[in-house]
Amino acid sequence: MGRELLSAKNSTVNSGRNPLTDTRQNSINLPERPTILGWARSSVGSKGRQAGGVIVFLAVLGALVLLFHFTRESAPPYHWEFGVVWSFLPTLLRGLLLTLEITVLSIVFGMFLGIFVAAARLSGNLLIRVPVTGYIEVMRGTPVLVQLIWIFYVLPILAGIKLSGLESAVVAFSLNLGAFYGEAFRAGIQSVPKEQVETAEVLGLTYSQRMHYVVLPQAARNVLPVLLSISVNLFKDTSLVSALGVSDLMFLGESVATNVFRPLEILTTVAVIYFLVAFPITILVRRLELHLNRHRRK
Amino acid sequence: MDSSVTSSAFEIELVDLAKYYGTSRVFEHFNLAVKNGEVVSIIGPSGSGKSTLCRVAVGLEPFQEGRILVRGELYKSADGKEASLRGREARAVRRELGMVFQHFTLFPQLKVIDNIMLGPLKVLGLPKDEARKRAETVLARVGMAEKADSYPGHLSGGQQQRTAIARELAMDRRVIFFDEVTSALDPELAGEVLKAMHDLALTGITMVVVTHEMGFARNVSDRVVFMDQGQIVEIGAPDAIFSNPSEPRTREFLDRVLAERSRRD
Repeated sequence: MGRELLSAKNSTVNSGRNPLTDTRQNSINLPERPTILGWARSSVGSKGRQAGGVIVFLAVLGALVLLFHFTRESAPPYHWEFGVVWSFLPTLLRGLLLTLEITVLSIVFGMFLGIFVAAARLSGNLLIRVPVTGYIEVMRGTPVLVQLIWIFYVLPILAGIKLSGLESAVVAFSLNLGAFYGEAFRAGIQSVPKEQVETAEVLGLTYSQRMHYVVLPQAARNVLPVLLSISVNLFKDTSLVSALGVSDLMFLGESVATNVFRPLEILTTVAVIYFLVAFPITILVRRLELHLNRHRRK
Repeated sequence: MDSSVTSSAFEIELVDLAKYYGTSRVFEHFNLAVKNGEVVSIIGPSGSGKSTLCRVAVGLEPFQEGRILVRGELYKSADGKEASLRGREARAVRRELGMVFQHFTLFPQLKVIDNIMLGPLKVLGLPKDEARKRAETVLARVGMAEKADSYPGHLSGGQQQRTAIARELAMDRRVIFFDEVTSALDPELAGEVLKAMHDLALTGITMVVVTHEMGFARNVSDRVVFMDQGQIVEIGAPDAIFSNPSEPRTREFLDRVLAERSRRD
């Protein structure tokens, strides 16, 4: 997803500047760098990309079928019984509801936190910047599962705060997201070319006007894909809360599967449910991205 | 040089300006007084401090020595050593100094017309219909009226640069600095931008033009400044500079540039 930020075109003569800050303005006379991704993006429209997603999905299903086919030769035949899924679907959907609740709460708190994290990272004050940078590195350098379990088991011992599994999950994911969103916001703001800010300054816009009319609209456009991928990853990562006994989609799926001795059917259904939620979101945001980029050169 | 004269006959005076990055000198002893309506071209080899001079003059960068006067009043002094205009008055003066950058710095998310209207609306505080009318007028002046509803990304470099000029015009500038505005353009696109600047010069606006376009410097400007290694080598009327430069360094530079030009053509 860093594609937007990383594929900064090698802009003209003015080297020595951060390529991140140096994207579109100078791109006018320069051809798009011929990356495969770039090719795929330009040659396939949004409809095409949707079709692409469906094709990938079908390919994965096909691969699974083949796998089952070959395993069947060596192992005793497995009789699929998807009928059992229907009776437990309400249970699974109840789990999905909790999964979505954790996701949405964490995204909201994480975004809020991320704004401050980005501001701190851009701050000139070392006393603010250094601790926040440390926090980001800890969040990025440790597994989410460890963070979850740490908040759930260790925090009560250290701070005497007892959080429920659900609360721990939201706290841990919000802290984790705050770091990632914060870095995305910061990168987005810094991806706006320096000249844009200077032009706005010469125009006579105040600091807040420059942010409002010039920097943030462009930054938002640049970070949108990154925010999306972070958020969809979070949605999938919430499955880790089953380790804390929180009855989310994954947890309920697992317990149903063991209770009815139908792990393949149930767990496959769980996977399909996750996919059915995540996939349309990615499509929606791609649409939005196209809409935001409508002013770019075609 | 007449730069020490404090008289409002001058639109802007740069008095003994010096700019350093750490210990390395960008320019020093820079003295230039620009009269109302005058077009001054600054020429010289790359790295002679021309662009930085523009940035210092419009207030994008601090400077270490000297002062800047606007219509005889002290606007800024190095590191605030002397009392200069502050607050509202300083902002008002600053608003009169415009700049067009080398790279097209239109705001990509805004249509051409909105690019032009942003300043009049948010900085000058004009009502919307008035800002729009003004934007349409200045766009017509640079021949961009029919592109008002395009996004900058859909324009050629020359069109973008003409829009950037129109944006400055909409701000009622008294002095506009042009920082190598045609350097990033193909010759033919540069031509249309130069023509827009030529038209502008005829309207009597004060212009300081950093340029590599010797044709423009010679034919359009009232005075030409030759800068080399951070210092003014020679100032004079275009004919004097181009036909009969008094400094050998000027002659050398012109010979080289003109030879390059003829090789390119």
